[in-house]
Amino acid sequence: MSTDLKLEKVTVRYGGFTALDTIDLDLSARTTLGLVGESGSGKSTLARTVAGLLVPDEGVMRLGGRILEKRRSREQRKQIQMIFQNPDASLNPRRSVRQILSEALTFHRMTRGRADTERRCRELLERVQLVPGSLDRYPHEFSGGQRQRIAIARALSVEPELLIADEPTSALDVSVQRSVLELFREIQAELDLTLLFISHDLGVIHAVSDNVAVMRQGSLVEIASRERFFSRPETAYSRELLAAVPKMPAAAAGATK
Amino acid sequence: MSERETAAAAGKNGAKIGTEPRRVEEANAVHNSNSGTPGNAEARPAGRPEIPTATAAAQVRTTAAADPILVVDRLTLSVASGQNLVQDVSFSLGRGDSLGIVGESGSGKSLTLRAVLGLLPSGVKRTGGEVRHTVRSAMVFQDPRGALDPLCPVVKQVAEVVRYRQGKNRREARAEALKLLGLLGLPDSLKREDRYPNQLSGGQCQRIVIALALACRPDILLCDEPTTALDVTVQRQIIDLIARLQRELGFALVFVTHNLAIAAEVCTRIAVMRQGRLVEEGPSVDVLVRPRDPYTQMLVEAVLPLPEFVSESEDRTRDSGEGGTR
Repeated sequence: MSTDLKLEKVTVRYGGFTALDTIDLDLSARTTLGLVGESGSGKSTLARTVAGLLVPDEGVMRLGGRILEKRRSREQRKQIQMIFQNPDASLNPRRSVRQILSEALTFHRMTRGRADTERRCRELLERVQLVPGSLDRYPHEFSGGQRQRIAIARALSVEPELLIADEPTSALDVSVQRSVLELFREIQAELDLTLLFISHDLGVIHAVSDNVAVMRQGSLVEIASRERFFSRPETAYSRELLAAVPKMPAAAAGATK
Repeated sequence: MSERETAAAAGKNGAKIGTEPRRVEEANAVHNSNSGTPGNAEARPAGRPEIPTATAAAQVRTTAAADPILVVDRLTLSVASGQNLVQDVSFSLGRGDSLGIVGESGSGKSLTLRAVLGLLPSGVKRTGGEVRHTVRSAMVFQDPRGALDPLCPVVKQVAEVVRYRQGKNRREARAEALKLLGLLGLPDSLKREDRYPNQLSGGQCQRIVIALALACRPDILLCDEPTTALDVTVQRQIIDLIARLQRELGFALVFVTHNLAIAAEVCTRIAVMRQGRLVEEGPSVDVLVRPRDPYTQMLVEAVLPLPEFVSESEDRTRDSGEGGTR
């Protein structure tokens, strides 16, 4: 089954403010779209709209040919999962990792019986490179990178087809960021995920994306393949973004050695 | 003199918790050098407390300024439980120098900076070493909105600092504040109508915070991740602004960041911190291109590369040329 995501003229308004202005977007299955833009450009609004946390004022969204309605079926909710920027805020501090992971599993009836749930939880932890002993611990006992891994495990638990990652590495240190990005690449290849990856960091976007979309003030200003975007950006705004990135002084050469 | 001060400080601690923790710390240091944490261990002999400061000064790296206005000498900061958050950090800064302190979260970058300013959070104490400076310093904080009073219009906030730090009357202070805001590229409309921080963008707020710091007429400007909360394009503006101000006003700069590329752009020297220790220090390019310490190497390698175009795009003429052919 193809799980292309298609947005047609999607518009979201907050009161009088247009956060998303007639967005048309095609995201083909099993590719990664990197969404860049400055704060307030509407990246997160777009993610939340696709995830069903916001209802668009106009426009149609389709996933695999089926329209995503305001009220989504359980199946559709399962298909789209989201990872948020701040794992501190997205993981319930009063629940153990086991509870966090098994809740989605039981809700979507992914497992049969407690033993099966337990087995699946362990599997998930292993998938995101955490020790199985972590199941009885609480989010505060983990580092930022580990917490983000738990959030990833939770999103993967229900075998989604579209994974939305909203700045998943912005709160992390560079070295941790690198390992989390590697994890993203692995799981995408392994699980045939379609990935909508939001970041304001062009380095991160370059590391994960197949295609790049640039947003500015609620509109998409450019969509191009990664190679094209980074070698020959079409719009002046994209060039401005790329030029603004602080550069290592000839250290790039040193790093690639 | 300063020697006596340190001794006094140590004595004060000793009165409370005895000399035991010091021993433990020493033992730790020896243990660490044995376990072979490279880069920092070799600089510290075992019998540390007995060594006079003159010898310590000689150990400060060769890059140290000839006539330093700020000397951080084997600074150690600890919490009550005895854990050292910053240990044996030494560096010095000459007039007009710029030093970037990089490292990951929890490495003690910000604490070191706060120790220079004397703004340590409660519970953290200086337990060893000292910070010597004879000049004024001021700090630019990471979160501009958090650093501003949300209930006070911004020009008034800047004027207030000018009034107290430069001893001017209200009218002069306001004029001076507006002059500063002009220097920082804030809109002229502020002259007519003062605004609250929430009516300004993040970049504008950060400019106000820099204005607050400059209103103290600092000889050392301490920046604690001033661009982390900002977008790339705004970040670029703030970096250029700080670099320009440093050229024009000639203050020395200590710039704390986790972004190696920013540190390299703004600063002539870079110090790398890890777990409270200084692991490497040297001229920016040397540190980044030929890192000696494995941790620095790891940091440099973790910087996500962008393809060639980016460096070319800096060249505006080429850019516009491309635009023309399309």
